[in-house]
Amino acid sequence: MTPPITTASPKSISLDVLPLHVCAVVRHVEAEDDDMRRLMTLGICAGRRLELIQRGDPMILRVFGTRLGVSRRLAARVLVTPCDQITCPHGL
Amino acid sequence: MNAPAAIEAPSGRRTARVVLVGNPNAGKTTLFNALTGHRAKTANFPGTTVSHRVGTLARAGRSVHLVDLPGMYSLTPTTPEERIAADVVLGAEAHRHKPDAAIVVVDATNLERNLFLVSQVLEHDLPVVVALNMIDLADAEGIQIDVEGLSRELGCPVIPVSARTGRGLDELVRTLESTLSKREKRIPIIQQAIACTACSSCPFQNRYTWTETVAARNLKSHRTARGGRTEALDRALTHPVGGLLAFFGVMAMMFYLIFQLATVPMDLIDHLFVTVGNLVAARVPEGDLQSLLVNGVIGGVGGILVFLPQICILFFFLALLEDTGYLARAAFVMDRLMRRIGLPGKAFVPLLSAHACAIPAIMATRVIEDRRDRLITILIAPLMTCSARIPVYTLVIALLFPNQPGFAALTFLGAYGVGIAAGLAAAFLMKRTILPGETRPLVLELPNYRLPVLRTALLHTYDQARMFVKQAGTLILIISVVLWALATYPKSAVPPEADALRAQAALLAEAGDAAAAAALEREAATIEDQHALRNSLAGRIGHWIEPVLAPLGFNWQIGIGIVTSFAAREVIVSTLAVVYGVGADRAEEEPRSLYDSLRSARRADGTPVFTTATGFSLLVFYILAAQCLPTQAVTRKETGSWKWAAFQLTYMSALAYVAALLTFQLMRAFGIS
Repeated sequence: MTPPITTASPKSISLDVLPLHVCAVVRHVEAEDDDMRRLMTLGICAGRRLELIQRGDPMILRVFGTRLGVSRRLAARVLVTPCDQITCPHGL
Repeated sequence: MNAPAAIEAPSGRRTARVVLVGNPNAGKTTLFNALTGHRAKTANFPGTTVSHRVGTLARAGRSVHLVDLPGMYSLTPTTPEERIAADVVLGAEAHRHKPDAAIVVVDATNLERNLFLVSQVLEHDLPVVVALNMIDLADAEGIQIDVEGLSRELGCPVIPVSARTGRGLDELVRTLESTLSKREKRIPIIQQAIACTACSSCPFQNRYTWTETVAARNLKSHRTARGGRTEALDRALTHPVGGLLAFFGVMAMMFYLIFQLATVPMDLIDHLFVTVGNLVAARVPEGDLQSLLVNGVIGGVGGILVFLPQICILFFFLALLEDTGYLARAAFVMDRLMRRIGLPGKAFVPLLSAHACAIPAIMATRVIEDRRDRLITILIAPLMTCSARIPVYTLVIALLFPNQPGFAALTFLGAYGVGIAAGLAAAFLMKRTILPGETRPLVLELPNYRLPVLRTALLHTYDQARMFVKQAGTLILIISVVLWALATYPKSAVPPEADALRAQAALLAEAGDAAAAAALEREAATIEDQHALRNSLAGRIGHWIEPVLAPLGFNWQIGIGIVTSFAAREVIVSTLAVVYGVGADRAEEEPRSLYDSLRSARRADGTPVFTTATGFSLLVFYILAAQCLPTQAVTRKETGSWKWAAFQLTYMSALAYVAALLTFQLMRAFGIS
């Protein structure tokens, strides 16, 4: 179900298909209702880096120093660009 | 329940009002408790069901009221609680007066995230002191923060504190006091830096860049990968299968402990009320007043307060679990399962708590952000089998299966299952009828695990217990008195059998056989009680409603039981004992005497009262019926309207009636009776 993606791909994918433990930069968050605004206030916001640390529905993301449980339905509305793992800061 | 008057006073007041703001999990409540000691009150924000605590600053030289606001991630609210918190901080309409200052609590181990809220609060014209909390944990993890640098960049004082150990609290209060007395304009350093004029999709883009930069500049040491232990634990505790098993393990243990630990204090409370009742009986002359005080007030209130230990232990464990960070995981693992019936994962723990008592469960639904989801959880919580139903189940099942412990156990289990199934079905239906809409998708921070603070949990328990007694107490008192009156008036003459027995007793006593005389006296009293109850208003209501109850297989005696158990379900047991002439005391001492006389009870036509069909019908009725008015009082409080409390009572009663009717009629149709 996960499309083959190279970690260096500049192409944006939706967050729910991001491979595990690959650092990614948020490109776009489909606006704008309370749920999406909630994601934004928790750090899932354009320009932020995040990492998927547990698959499933809900999934667990690491963003902005904390782990977040997020429904797949919401994750599908976030576009991210997987980036080179080396550029991802330690302890995200 | 109103906030202290000083808070509503116009400006120019001498009592300063300071709000405590912070992310959830930043240790705000622990800091509040440490700063205010035990002098805190719980109150609702005007016109809402969102509660907050107000306390007086313990160490301050001047009078300062501290308001503990609900935790929030930002001043751009996304939940009702956040909305109110933001309104209070900004001095919005309903909360006319802007606070005099804000303490923003920041988790020192997660500076970046917490600075986000700080930056928003700093944008407003409000003196701010930042409490850099959990500084001890930050030290332990090797996180070093340049406090002075941070203070310079934020343009407000930053005080490192540890709410757990008390470190830095004096300095925090001193700084707050000097900030309050200066009342000078703070220089808004950050406004320009984060104005977002060309942000494509996220209005917080520049703000995040700012917090990241500020955090990076003021962290002296590079952060080590923290939360390693948390991550390892989470691999097990949020696992789709392992996490569920762990969760049920934790909950099973909690329930075991609730029922185990509560026995002694419950016995003590029971004993206390009996003792007080006896004392009053000894001092007040026999008559209506004595009966009102002993049977009505003391007996009625004691009957409900006896559940207080269970309620307290439940609150205490939930507070501990919340404080460790585990409750967030429980909501996480249950989310997928609960979503199928249209409820969020956070609804599970309240529903489970309802198996001890619906009242703390309804109070615990506050964690559910969405109003619809929360309402549904409140409405179905009383369908779960609470402790008060257990004596009723025990009685009915003993009648149904006197010599088949296997069937008895299965029926008991089945009764729990019926309650759960009915609750889930009701939720499913409400989601598609009166409260339509998709369940709010899960967005949930999974905070680092940490050791709970005992004091915080105890204070929380005390607070909640007080609220329970306050909310349910008055109502329980009124209902107890009303039910007492129904069961007492109008009075009837002493029946001739009782007089005859008493005369016989007197003869025996003269003959020196005191024991036999006492036995006859007791028998006379039992007959008198039975006679009085049958002729009282409650007895007449039982007769009046008999035509309505007859299709369920109930006679008027059971009708009296249903009427008198409206405040508390378990009362039906003692009522039946009186109606069938066993006597409430004897039934408690030797339940068999009650079972035997109920089993041999006959209707007017000579058929037994408690047939299998009637037994099951009564069981189903008590699983589903809303026979607990204190629950409705709490529902009203938590939903903010009588409408929902009335709806809860109505739908549960209708459900109970129809289900019992179907049970009885179907069983009869299939020849089981």
